[in-house]
Parts: sequence; C-alpha cells; structure tokens
Amino acid sequence: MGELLILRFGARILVPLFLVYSLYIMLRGHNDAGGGFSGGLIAATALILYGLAYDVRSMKNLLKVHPVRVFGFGLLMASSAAVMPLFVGSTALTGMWIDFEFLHTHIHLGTPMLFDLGVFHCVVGGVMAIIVTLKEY
Amino acid sequence: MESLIVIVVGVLYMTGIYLLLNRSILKIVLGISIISQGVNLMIFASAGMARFNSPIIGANEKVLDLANAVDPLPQALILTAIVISFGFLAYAIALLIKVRNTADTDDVDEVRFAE
Amino acid sequence: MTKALLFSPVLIPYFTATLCFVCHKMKRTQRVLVVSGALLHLAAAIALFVQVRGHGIIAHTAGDWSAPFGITLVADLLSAIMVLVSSIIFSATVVYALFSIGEEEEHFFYYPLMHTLILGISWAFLTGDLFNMYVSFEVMLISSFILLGLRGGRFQMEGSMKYFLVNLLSSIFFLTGLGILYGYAGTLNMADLSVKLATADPRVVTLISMIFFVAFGIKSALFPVFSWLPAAYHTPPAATSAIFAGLLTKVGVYALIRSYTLIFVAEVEFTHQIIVVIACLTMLTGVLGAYSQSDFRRILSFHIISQIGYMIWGLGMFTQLALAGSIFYLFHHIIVKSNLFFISGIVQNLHGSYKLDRLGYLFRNKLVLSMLFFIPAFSLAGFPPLSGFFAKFLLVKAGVDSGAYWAVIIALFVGLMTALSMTKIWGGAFLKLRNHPVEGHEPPGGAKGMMVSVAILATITVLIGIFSGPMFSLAYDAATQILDRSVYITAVLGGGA
Repeated sequence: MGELLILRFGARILVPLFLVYSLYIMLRGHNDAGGGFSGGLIAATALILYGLAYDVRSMKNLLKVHPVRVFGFGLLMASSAAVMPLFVGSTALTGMWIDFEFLHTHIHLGTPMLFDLGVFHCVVGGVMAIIVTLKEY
Repeated sequence: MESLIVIVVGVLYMTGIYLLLNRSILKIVLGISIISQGVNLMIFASAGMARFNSPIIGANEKVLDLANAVDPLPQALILTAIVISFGFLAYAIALLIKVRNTADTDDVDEVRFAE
Repeated sequence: MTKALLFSPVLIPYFTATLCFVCHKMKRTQRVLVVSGALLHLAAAIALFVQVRGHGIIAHTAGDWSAPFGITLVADLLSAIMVLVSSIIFSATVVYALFSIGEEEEHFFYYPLMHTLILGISWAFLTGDLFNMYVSFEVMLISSFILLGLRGGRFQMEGSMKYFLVNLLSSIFFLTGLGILYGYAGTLNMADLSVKLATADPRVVTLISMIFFVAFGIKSALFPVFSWLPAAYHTPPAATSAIFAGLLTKVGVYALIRSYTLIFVAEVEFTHQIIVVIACLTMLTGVLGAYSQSDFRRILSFHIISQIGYMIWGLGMFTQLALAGSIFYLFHHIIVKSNLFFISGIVQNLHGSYKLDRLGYLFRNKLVLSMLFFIPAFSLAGFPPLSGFFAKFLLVKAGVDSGAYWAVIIALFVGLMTALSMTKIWGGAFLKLRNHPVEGHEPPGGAKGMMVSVAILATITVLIGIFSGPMFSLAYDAATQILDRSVYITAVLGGGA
C-alpha cells in the first residue's frame, strides 16, 4: 500500500483536473483543435489513472452505471443530433442552431455540440468497457 | 519534407511486414498496427506538407483564404482511421489473451484444432 | 421524403443497436426491440427498392453539402436490390436466432451486434464514396469479429484468429489504396472519381486498381486469399454463420462490381481479363475443396468460394448480359446459401453434430426438413426450374457470347461438381440409413421455430425460379444502369457537373 501513496495522492488532485480539462477540450472542439473524441480520451485517461491508483472495481463504481450503458447513451445522443434535421426536411447531420441570451451572455447552441457530447460519452464508455473487460481476465 | 515522410512510411511498412512474417500472434498484431501508422502518415503526406492555416472562415471574413488553407479531408480520414485501429487493437488484445488462455500458446502454427 | 428513405436502412439498425446497448439487462424488451428493428429495416428496404425501381437513382449528401464534399449516400438499382436481399436475410436470421441462440450469447450483446453488422452492410451498399465504404467495412468487420468469437471455445478462437488477421490485412490494403488514390485524384467520392480518372493516365489507374483488387479480393475470398473463409465459417452458431455466409463476402463482391464498373475502367481488356482468370481459379479451388470435405458446414463454406467465382466471372466478362447474370447470381446465392446454413443448424440441433458420418435417417424421420433442404441445395447445384439454373444459364450464355469457351467449360464442370457434392450432403445426411449418432444428445428444442425462416427463404427461392422473367429484367435493368456511368454521375453530382 505504501508504494501507492504518491500515486494516490497525485490521482486525487489530477483526476478532477483531467476531467475539467477534458470538458474544456470537448467544448472548444467546434472551432479549434479538440472535440468529443480527444476530450473523451482525456476523461478516460483520468478514470484509468484512478483505476491504477486504486483498483478497477472502484473505477467502475466511479461511473455509477455500467460502461456499456454510458456508451449506449452516447450513441443515442450523437445519433439524435444526426437525425433531428431529417424532421425539418434537411439531410441527416445538417447543423441546427439556437441562439439566446442567458445572464447577459450570448449563447450559440447547436446539434454539433450534442454530437460531440455523444462522442464524448461513447469514448468514455467504450474505453471503460474495454479496460474493465480486459482486467477481468 | 514529403520525401522524408515517404522514407518514414517505407520504413514503417518494412518493419510492419517483417513483424507480420512472424509466427507469434502478438508480433503480427504489432506489425499490423505499425503498418496502419504508416498508412496514416501516407494519407497525411498526400495533403501536402507545408505550413498552412486551419480551413476555418474567420469571424471577419466571408470566404476561405484557399491559398493558405490546409486540405482538411486527409486529417478527417486519419482521425477516423485512428479510431478504427484503436478499436481493432482493443479487440486484438482481447483475442490474444483469450487464445493464450485456451491454447497455452501464441504461436499461429500451434493453434490448430478445427482442421 | 426520399432523404429519410435513403438514410433509414442505415439509421434504423443504428438506433436499434443503440437502444439494445442502453437496455441490455432487460431481456424481453431487447427481443421485442430486435424483432421490430429488423422488420422496420425490411420495410424501409422494400420502400427504398420500390422508390428506386419506379423513379431512378436517389442520391443525397449528409449535412446538405453539395456532392463531391460530404458523406454521400446513393441508391441505384444494384444497391437497392442488395439492401433488400440483405434485409430479408437479416430478418430471417433474427427470427432464427430467437430460437437458437443461448443465454450467454444474448448476454454478450449478440443482438445489438447483429444490428451493427447489418448497419455496416447496408451502409456499404448505399455509400457513395470510397472512404465511407472503408468505414462501413470496418463497422461490419468488427461486429463480425465479435460475433464469431462470442462462444469463446477453442475452435472459435482459432477461426476468429485467422479471420481477424487476414481481414485486418485487407483493411490495410484498402486504406493504402485510399491514401494513394486520394493523393492522385484529390477526391474519394465515387462519382467524382469516375469523372476525374476518365482523363487520368490509365497505367496509374490500373496500378491503383490492383491494390483495391487485393483488398476487395480478400474480403470476398477470391482465389489465392480465400483460406480464412473455410477456417472460420464453420465455427460460430448456425445463425451467425448463416448471415456471414450470405452477406459478408457478398459485400466484397458488391465493392468489386461497383468499383470495376464505375471507377477503374481505364484498361478494361487488361484488368477484367485478370478478373476472369482469378474467377475461374476461384471456382475450381472452391468446388474441389468442397468435394474433399465431410463436414456439413465446411462443404457449404467451400461452396461459397466457388460461387463467388461465378459472380466475379460475370464482372470480368463485362457485358450487359454477364453483369445481369452476376447480379441475378448475387441475390439468388445470398438467399440460397443462408438457407443451407440455417438447415445445417437445424440438423445440428436435432442430431448434435455437423459431421456427415454421424448423420443419417433424416429423410425417413424429417420429411419436411428434407424437402426444405432439397430446394436450396438443388437450386445451388443449378437444377431447372429453381433459381440457380437461371443464374448459371445467364452467365454461361454470356460466356459463350464473349467467346471464352475455356471459361465456359470450367464453369460447367464446376456446376457438375457442385451438384455432386450437394448429392454428397443429401446422401450422407438425409438418405443414408446408418450413422454413428452423438451419444446422449437431447435436442434442445426450438427446431420448429427455426424452420419458419427456412421455409420463408425456400419459398423465395422457388418464387425467384418461377418468376425468373421479371427477376431477369430487374437484373438486366440494374446491369444497364451500372454500365451507363453518366446516369450515376449525374444523379450524384447534379446536372451541371
């Protein structure tokens, strides 16, 4: 146990930092380098770090739901972003946007954002599922 | 710059093919993943290797400055290919562990039950 | 309306698979979802087919981009036929799987993986650019890898290892070809490529086309690179191997037909001559391999290879009649071959083995099953009035017209050998009155339910035979459409381009 002390202490600081940074990477992805995939990978890295410092079971517990379910919800989110435009007569994957003011800030929300969020969930769920399954052997 | 990349691609292919000719499954999988890095680099080189801007129309512009913008498609292709090879690698590792557990070997020639 | 129609064969299995992933603990909900997803897919495929048959090619690009950019989906007659047939097989397989798949497979995502498999397959048929074809191949492949290895036994591991490594190699060839092609032509949209490569240096085009030929050739199990198929297809449960046998290699054949009629037509007399030679070798090795086997499913696996040879032969002759023959052969073969694998599964269910020396008495004890086997088996062997006869007849007629008598002789010889090894199964498993039964095998039940799929597919086979006239004109129209490239190009790139 003693040899993991530094790693565990480090993980406690780094994991939240990684998670916040992954969100940042995901959000800036629309106009800059980044996006759902790289953000998701960073978040997954954070969880893996946690898993290394403690164990895979507590890493899995951190997610609260089964990784495959996270993966499924991600797919659902991304695909709903793809399908929504079909109902207003555009082809699949066309971007749809809404603009509004909130707390004096101009907010520009759209389906690509939803898509990225879905990809983020997919990657986190997928990587977690892989790690958990491989660890079970 | 392109010629350097081409040489690197060639070396990656060479290494990969050398590993592919091995009998250990692990080395075959490694060989395949090294070749796929080579492929990615090759696609990247096909877009041209000079320094360009990202192909985004800025806030104050109306049209894209085509002369200085990079072709975004190869990068999108590579990203997709990387994601796919990531999935394949995960599957390959799982398969490798499973084969070792059931057959006690990772030699391709010794894993023969069905024929 | 046509937009939703065009995208739905891809989106329906996608959503079904997603929902299955979300609620994978709820067994009953999942089953309802799976069946309704399959039926919806069938309905969408029929609607798409009717639309394309009535109003010509549909093409749309995702995200409202204009055509050479963005992800294009195109449905011409060939794609629509392929989507329809694969959807029929898929629905039949899902019904069959409900009665034959064990708890364990169901727990390890059997049904969602079936849906991602059909997602990849329909996407490959409908896509309008080569990179998307690559991605759809990978979607299809990774689902098939997992489906193949699900049972995790020794045989499955060996089969999936070979299948995995060889197909991974083919993906690398495909991607290499894509990289070179993009570097050379600057586009991967198939219609756009067809326009751009028409004025390019034919030697370069031929060189690039050969890389793709290797990639697609491995996928469709052509002559020197077929060995992964018989090593893998007899290992998974019958439902899985039936959908693999029916559809996976045929996606490769479709890719070959599409690319060698639309894109790589620079030096037809050279490339297509190679295809004819490879086709003949494929036919021969497949049928000789089949004759030397004594396992129900291994005989059938080797037959897939020889039948692929026929389809590719039609492509190699490159006349309207020959291509019509290929297309006819494709849809006849998919239905018949899946059906034979279904029947092998029922036989295994009843007697506990796929080995012919352990089987026997089936004709005496299971008359209906024997009759149902008779139809696809002798259709495959090419007996008139069943569908296989007309498919072979078209190809042989085209071969005689093109003057390649040696190929015709090989094809007829292979047809004879096919009939011979079908007789081997018929005699070994059905007529024979002695066997070494598997000790203590209790049929796990469900055979009656599995028969439903078999009966439906057998009916379709008979119908294709009876209505061979309309079927032929359908195949002929599809062949006309793929040979007249300008229609496809106009539909994708718009009138002005």
